[in-house]
Amino acid sequence: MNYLLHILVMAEIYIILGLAMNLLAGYSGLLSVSQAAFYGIGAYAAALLLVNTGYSFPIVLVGAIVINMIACIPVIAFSIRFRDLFFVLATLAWQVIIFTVLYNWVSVSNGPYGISGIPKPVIFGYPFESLPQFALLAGALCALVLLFFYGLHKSPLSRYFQGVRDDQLTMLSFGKKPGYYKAIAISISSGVSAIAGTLFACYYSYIDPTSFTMDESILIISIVLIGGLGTLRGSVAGALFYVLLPEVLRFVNVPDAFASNLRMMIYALILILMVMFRPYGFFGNYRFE
Amino acid sequence: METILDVRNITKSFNGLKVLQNASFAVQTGTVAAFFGENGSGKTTLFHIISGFLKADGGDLYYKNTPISHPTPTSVARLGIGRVWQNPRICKNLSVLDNLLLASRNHPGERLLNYFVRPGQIIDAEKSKKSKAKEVAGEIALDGKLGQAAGELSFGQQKLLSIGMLLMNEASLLLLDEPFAGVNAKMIDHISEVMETLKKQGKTIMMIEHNRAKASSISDTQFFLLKGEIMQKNDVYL
Repeated sequence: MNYLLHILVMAEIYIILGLAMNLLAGYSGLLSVSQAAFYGIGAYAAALLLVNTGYSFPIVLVGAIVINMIACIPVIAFSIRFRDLFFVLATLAWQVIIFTVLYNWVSVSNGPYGISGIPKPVIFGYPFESLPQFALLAGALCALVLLFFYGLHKSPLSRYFQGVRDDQLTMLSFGKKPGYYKAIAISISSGVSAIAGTLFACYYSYIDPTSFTMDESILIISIVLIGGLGTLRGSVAGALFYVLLPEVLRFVNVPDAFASNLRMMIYALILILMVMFRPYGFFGNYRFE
Repeated sequence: METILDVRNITKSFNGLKVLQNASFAVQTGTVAAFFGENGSGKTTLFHIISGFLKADGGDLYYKNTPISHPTPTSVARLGIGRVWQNPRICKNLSVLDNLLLASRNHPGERLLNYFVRPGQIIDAEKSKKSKAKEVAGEIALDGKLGQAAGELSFGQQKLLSIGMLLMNEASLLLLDEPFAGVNAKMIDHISEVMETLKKQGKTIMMIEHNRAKASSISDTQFFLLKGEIMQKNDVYL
């Protein structure tokens, strides 16, 4: 049972990350490779606030969201200054900078040793200590995020994000400023990533920089590419695929010594096949040209 | 008749090559003005300057007798000058309806703050803009394709959609770059019918066109660009 609940918690965290990424890549056409950096900043912000200040979980969660929204200002600047591949490169640089800072700013982040002893969430005196309780909390936050993105999808704002993605000249021709919508998309995506980071930090009670590397950013991108860009169910399907597939591959009977590597190779192969034969992913309505 | 756009002594060079030299002309409200000239004569450069996508080296632009200082694409669009590109710029993954709504002017849903302070206004505006979009779609004969992805429309229909988007943007002066290029004879007639209707509604149209016969038949004024200078029909020997 605990094994299934663990998978459920991981799925909930990655659904949140997938939805946040989808707003950038799927709706706004911004292929950011610094999503793990925001996931990490959110996790560290929450961990430091919980360990050092003793604030309650809701305040910490809001604090982590606000800190992430401030930390995304350089990416907003990149998005206005650079386009397409140059934006990807700029966010790549930002990812490397954040990882390096987390790894080396020992007085704050404790460097490679990470932060341990992160307390479990307590909301209005009710602790979420056991695995079922935590899965419930993560599920509730995941549902709220999903509801938020559903509302956003149905709102006129979604149309402007997609306008930025499809043709920025069109937006300019009609008096709309693409930079404004990019800034909103990046801020929201960054803020939502903080929710996933906070859950991750509280779930493991320990974080270190190796959880927020470039590899993680690429995995988050692959979630939305596999699930399909521009749809909510695509992000959910992509996250479930990413979390469940390695678990299914556990049942492939191979020696433990290289089982993990083999699983990743099979996963990579499926990714290649998806790109070749299903470029819109499972449920996508848009793809990068 | 009132002058809607007054262009005075516009000059533009690229790497020392003069593309526009003291280009001056005026367009009257509610008329159709056609611009002819060989490839490279500066027609599109002129449209780029008027719509704020290029900065002129010198000269002045007046819109409704008010100078346009430091024109940018967004500021020009907000004044009421709309642009249709030679290759229609539309959002191909969005539906025809969403393209029309995207272009609509002063939708409160454009601003994030409004979602917190006046959400009711956004809902009301969305309803009224949708009904206007349906009207506009009828005018451009795309009312049967509102739910279709814009990228699936024919080239000519995409041009019509671009014009429809200008109408949603409530543009008073429409800059059309080669509206008849790349479309069949039936669609040319259709586009010119739409232009006639717009003219009757009081819109002013400036168009660049190589189809001189068709453009002359629906335009009130013809301008010719020769070596970067602009001449009116009466000034040149053809």
